[in-house]
Order: sequence, then C-alpha cells, then structure tokens
Amino acid sequence: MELVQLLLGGIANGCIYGLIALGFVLIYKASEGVNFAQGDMMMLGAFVTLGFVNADRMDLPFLPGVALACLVMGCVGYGIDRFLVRGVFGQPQFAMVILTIALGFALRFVAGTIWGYSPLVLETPLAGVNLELAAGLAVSAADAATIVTTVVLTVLLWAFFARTRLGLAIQAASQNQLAAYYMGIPVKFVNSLVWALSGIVATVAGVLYAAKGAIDPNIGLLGIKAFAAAVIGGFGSLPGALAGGVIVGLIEATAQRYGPSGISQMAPYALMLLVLVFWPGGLFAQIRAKKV
Amino acid sequence: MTAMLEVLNLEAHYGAIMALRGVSLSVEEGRIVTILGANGAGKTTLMKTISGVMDPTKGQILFMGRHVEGRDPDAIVRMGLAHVPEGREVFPFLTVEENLRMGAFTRRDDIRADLDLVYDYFPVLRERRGQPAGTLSGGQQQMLAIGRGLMARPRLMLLDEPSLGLSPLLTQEIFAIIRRLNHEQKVTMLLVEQNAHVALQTADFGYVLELGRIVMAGSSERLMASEDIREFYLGQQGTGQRGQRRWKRRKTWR
Repeated sequence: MELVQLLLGGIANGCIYGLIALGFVLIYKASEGVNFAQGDMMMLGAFVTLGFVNADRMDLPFLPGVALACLVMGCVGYGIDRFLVRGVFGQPQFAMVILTIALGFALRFVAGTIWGYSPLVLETPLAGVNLELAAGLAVSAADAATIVTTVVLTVLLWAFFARTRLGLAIQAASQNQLAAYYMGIPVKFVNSLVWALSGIVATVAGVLYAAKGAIDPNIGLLGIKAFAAAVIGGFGSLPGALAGGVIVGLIEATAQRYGPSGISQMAPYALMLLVLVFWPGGLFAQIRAKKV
Repeated sequence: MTAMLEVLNLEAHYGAIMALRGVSLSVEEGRIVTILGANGAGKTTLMKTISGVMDPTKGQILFMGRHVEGRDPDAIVRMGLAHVPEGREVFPFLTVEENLRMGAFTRRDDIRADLDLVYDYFPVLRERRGQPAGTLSGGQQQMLAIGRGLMARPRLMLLDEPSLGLSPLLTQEIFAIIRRLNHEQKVTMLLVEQNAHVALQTADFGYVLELGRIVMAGSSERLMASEDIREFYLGQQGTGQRGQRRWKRRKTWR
C-alpha cells in the first residue's frame, strides 16, 4: 500500500515533468531547436494564473481564470515566435539556444518585477483536499487533478494532431518544411501556432505545479529536469515526452524513499546519461532514415 | 491561344550568385512544356521562383494574367498552381492518404472525388493508403508526390524531375500518366527534366536553359531535330568523314 501511495505521487509529479517535456518536443519539432525558456514559460503561466484568480489580485473564479491565463500565455508563445524566434530562423542552432536562454532570464525578471521574488501561493479549490481511495491509501486532490488533467490534455492533443486538418498540417510542416511550403501550408504561421500551443501546455503544467505548493520566479529551473525527461523519451516523440516525464517522476519518488539521501536529485540525470549511452535516440525514438 | 504562365526577364540570386539571368518563357494553356538543362543551369531555381518558394530579384511572373512574383506560396497554390518538387519530398510519417489530404490543404470544399481520382490514376496508392509514406518505394513516392499535387486541383502543374532515381520502365510509366493527366484532366504542365529523350517525347514545346539563360526554344520536333540538342542532350554523335570525330562541336543553338 505504501508503495502504491509512493508511485501515485511519483506519477503525479512525473505528469508535470511530462507536460513541460511535451512543450520542449512540440517546439523542437516545429522550430528545430530547443526552447530552454520552456520552464520559465511554465513559471510565467503559473504567475499569470495567480494574477487572475488570487483574492488579493483580480479574484476571478478559478477555471475561467485558468482559461484566461492559457489564452494570455498562448498569445505570449505566439508573440515569442513571431517577433523573436523567427528572426534567428535559418541561423545556426546555437542562435536559438542563446536566444531562448536569454529569454528565460528575461521572463524570470519580468515575473520577479511584477509579482516579487518571495514565494506566493496560488489559491486553488484543490488545496488541502485529500481523496481516500482505499484504507490507508489517500491521494491529494492536486495529485489526482494532475493525473486526470494530463490524461485529458494528452487525448485532446492526440485528437488535434491526428484528426484535424490543422493538426495534420503541423505534423506535415515538422516532417518536411519545404514540402509543406509547396503544398501551400503557411509554415511560419503554423510554427507560431505551435509556440502558442506550447505556451498553453506550459500554463497547464504551471497551474498543476502551483497547486502543490508555493511558486517563485525560479521554479522555471524545473525545466531542466523536464529536459532530461524529454531526452529519455526521445526528443521528437510526443508520447515519449510524457512517458519520459512519468519515468523521471517514478524514479525520483522511489529513489527518495529507498535510496541514500541525495540520490533522488541525481537519479533523473543519471538515467538520462544511461539512456544516451545505450539508446542514443531515446526510449521512444521516432527517427528513421530518409529514403532518397 | 492565351498564355497561362508568362515569365518575363526573371532574375534570381543565391546570395551573391546569380542563378537566373533574365529568363523569359511562356506556357500556353493545355500544353506540356519542358525545360531542358544540365546540372546547375537554374531549372529548379526557376521552378521555385515561379511557385513562390524563392523571391526573384527582378522580373515578372504572370499566372493567368495576374502578377505573382514575390507572393507567398500558399496564395499561389490557391490560384491553381501546384509544384511537385524535385526528390519527391513526401511527409514520411504521415500515411499516404494524409499526404494526399495535405495536397488539398488550401481547399475548403469536399475532396473525396479528387481522392478517388488520384487512386484511379495510381491504384497502388489505394492499396497502401494507410501506410506511412516513408515506407513506399521511390517510384510509389513519386506517384504520391504527383497525386498530392493533383489534390490541389491545379490548372498548372510544375513537375521538377519526375524521373529522378527511377528505373527506365518506371519513368515511362510515370510519363504516360503525365500525358494522360494533361489530356484527360486538362492540366497544363511545366516539366523540368534531365532525361531529354522522354521529356521531348512527352512535351509539345521546349526551352533549353544554360547557366541561367534560355538559349533555345522551339517545338519538341524542332528541338529533337536540332544538331546541338541531338549531340548534347540526346547523346547521339554525328560521324565525320572518316567515321570518327576528334573534335568537340561548338554549340550554336540553331
């Protein structure tokens, strides 16, 4: 029973890593570069939500507030691509790396200036509620909401990518940008849309993270652990990103309980190294050679 | 007859390198027009500039009487110009049918009839409609690329080297279908080809592009009869008086 309890918590944490990793992968597929500001976008999403729903701020109802924050962060994501990332398009890879790292710092300072650097708590209806699943097995409402939201969001994203014309166009543009151009797919617009989508996913992750504790402008550093999750899952695979996140969450939880102290902070990165050595493409690689 | 596509004094650069040096040509409605040329002559650049993927530095392109130079490719596709790119360029992880749907991206109306049409021309694609396009053979991918172009329901189709990497038999098959599409679906074709033989057999009219300039234009019969074309593009060698030749002919383009 104790183990199940432990694993549930691990999965819930892992879902958050998975959602951030999903943002990494979405952008990697669209812009062919890593967005190192993904964790900071999550942080900003959490703070924007806090600004909308906390009683001492705008005091909106929780769900409409989250929806509004998603909208705002979607626009932020779109704007980042439209006005910043598109400018380094076609430049060497490191241009985007430097740009997004700098952007991460900028977002951290923006959040710090507006909301301050001391930890704040997002007021959610989930706080302090526990669900008793069985005797001796309880799960916090925040953890349950995290898992359910992640599953729902995954299904929605899957349906969007596999079933809608626009979703297919996004896939097409990521697989062969030039051909997408030839087909008359507006590739630049589609890429900006992916950034918007990843801003929304980051916001959801941020809200779920904030439901478990206090937030401050430095929680974006969680993005590094999510980056490890994306690498473990195989950069470029959406299901892989989520799976990688869950794996990291589980390993962290079990290492913390059964391993020597300090090992749980190290475990995700150790696993990333192992994966890179033995399965360089990641556990769920979707890379095949192009036929000529 | 009216010209469907008119290109006037087109110039294009890759950085400082001039790839097109004032190309003018016209494609009349219902025809198959071919552009011959060696590697690096500027054929693909010309196609990319027409379909809007590259911007020209000078010159005009008129498609159905409207200026399209420098416009975005989606606007040009919407006007009825489909580009089948060199090297097939299918979407490898999408299925055959999803690839075809992407060809119709700019259309908002019902595309089922067009899917059937494509499957009728290329029955093998119907068999493999649920398979990822990256797993098709080269010839099937070329068929998919042409079918994907058809899905835009184009008035004019730009075909860039449809024979690239195909066996001679498959090349004949693809070109037979190109002729049928031109005849039955009234799709005007602008065809770039290295295989001058099959291109001139298929086309009504041809241009020869060398180092970014049009050096010769004429009906396919005239081109096929030309000494220069015979020697430099069809690989037939005239013999001198002693049954062999020890000099290299000068190109005169007459």
